[in-house]
Amino acid sequence: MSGPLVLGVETSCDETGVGVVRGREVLANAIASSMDEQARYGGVVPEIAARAHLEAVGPTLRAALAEAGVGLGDLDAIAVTAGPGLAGALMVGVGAAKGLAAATGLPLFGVNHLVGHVAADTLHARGAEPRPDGLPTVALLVSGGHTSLLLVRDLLDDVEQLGETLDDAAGEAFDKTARLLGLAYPGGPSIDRAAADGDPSAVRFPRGLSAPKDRAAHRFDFSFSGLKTAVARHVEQARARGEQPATSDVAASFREAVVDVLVTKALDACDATGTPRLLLGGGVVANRRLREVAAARAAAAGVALRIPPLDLCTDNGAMIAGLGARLVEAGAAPSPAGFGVDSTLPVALAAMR
Amino acid sequence: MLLAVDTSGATSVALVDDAGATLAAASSDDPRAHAESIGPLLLQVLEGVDRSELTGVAVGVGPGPYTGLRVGMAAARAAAFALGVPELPVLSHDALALAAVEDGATLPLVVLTDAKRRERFATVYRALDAAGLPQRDGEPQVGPADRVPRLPAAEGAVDAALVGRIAALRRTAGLPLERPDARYLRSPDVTLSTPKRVLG
Ligand SMILES: [Zn+2]
Repeated sequence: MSGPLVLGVETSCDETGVGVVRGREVLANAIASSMDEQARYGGVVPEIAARAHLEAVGPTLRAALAEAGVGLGDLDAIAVTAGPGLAGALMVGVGAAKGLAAATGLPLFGVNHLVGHVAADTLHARGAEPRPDGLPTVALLVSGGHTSLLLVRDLLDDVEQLGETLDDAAGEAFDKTARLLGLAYPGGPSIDRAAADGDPSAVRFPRGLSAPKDRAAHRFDFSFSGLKTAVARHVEQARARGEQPATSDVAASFREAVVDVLVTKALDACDATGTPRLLLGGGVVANRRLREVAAARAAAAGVALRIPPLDLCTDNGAMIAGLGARLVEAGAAPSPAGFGVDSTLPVALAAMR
Repeated sequence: MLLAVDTSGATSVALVDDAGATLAAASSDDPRAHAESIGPLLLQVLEGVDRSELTGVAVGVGPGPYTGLRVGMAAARAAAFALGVPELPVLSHDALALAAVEDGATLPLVVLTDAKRRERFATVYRALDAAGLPQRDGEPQVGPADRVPRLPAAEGAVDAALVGRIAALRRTAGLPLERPDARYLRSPDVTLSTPKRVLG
């Protein structure tokens, strides 16, 4: 066992995560989620998420330290997500982390959530073999809060954003479409279930920003609002004709459109940048169809696909701790005590400085 | 010795002794920089302090604008955990009532703070408790500014030193602790998150 012992706090969306790593080894990854409270609204309500973080942060902290079998006094540093994310939610984590840091005298790093998702790929479970380094890589990070395509040459000082969503995040598109089809929240799993015996080619839904005219300005950007509208129109037209829309076919066709555009653009980014590696991260990676299509097409394109275990793909504290450990190893200065949250923190900044 | 934190209005941090006397205090008035300010203020107040002499963390639980309020509550909760001492919740309005009484005001009075949307948070105080501190009559309320109780009003920014003093004096008098929950007094606004763009 070697490397700095770091605790990471993550509260950028609706999961309260606290993780502990030693170098690249995950010692604990405790999570509390307000998803059940969000379910009745069909999406993440920022104020509900922020209230839930305040309730959960203490118990999650306790759980993580117990799971890791370490005390705060053993730590070398603390890391906390400073952005991007929901401002009110981020502030709970930053408040808690600053309280911990002031009480213990430990150095504190305010870190980038998206770079944290990339750092997740460098981590390994307790006692497992370390993973070989996977850089440079293209990273496709998809969740209910973000959809980003990055080119990562170095975790700490060379992360470039190639593209992002211009409207809804992919996970949000799943949630909104699920609501439209009368399916449960969160939309990812419920659309997956409905799509299981549907025909993915039943309806040809639009692939946002994929037309030749979009290639110049938005080659690596995403847009899912047109897709959502197309599904709504399809369902309304069916009902206007007095028909019941075939939910399983619509769900399968919608999912296919999302997966197709995500994988196509990600592999195009690998090709355009000459990068033979693709990393997937974010909660939408739980979608099996996305993993299947990405695996098949990456193999065909000669691109090595890397997907961290699911509990390190969804928002979590271990990835934040992992990024913190890399900063400590690199001798980076802690963030200034007066750093704030930044809901649109650019990926070029791995940590607040 | 107690550490005290209140972010129900401004960001205020203090250190008080077991009799409630102020040992150190620091604050920032910026109403939108609680997350920024709390770090430097905590470090300033704790500078040179032997952490093992701290026996509790007093914290203002509102009412107050939620986003800022939570920053101080999260910081105090985490600090109490890290120090291995109890969190001592205090209604933030109690500190404003104490400030008014120490300033010569007489009871009854109503403490008023801004609740946004042209409303006020209001708490009525009529008597002193066993620790000699203003005791509230009922729970804090939120409502239109023109419908607050017709009593002499106490307003202003909460001083964490008074939050600390109240916690110290109540503890000495053996009075029960306040509930630790944030006093939101309103159901959450159900506005779904807007899509986030990460520019640059
Ligand atoms: Zn995320």
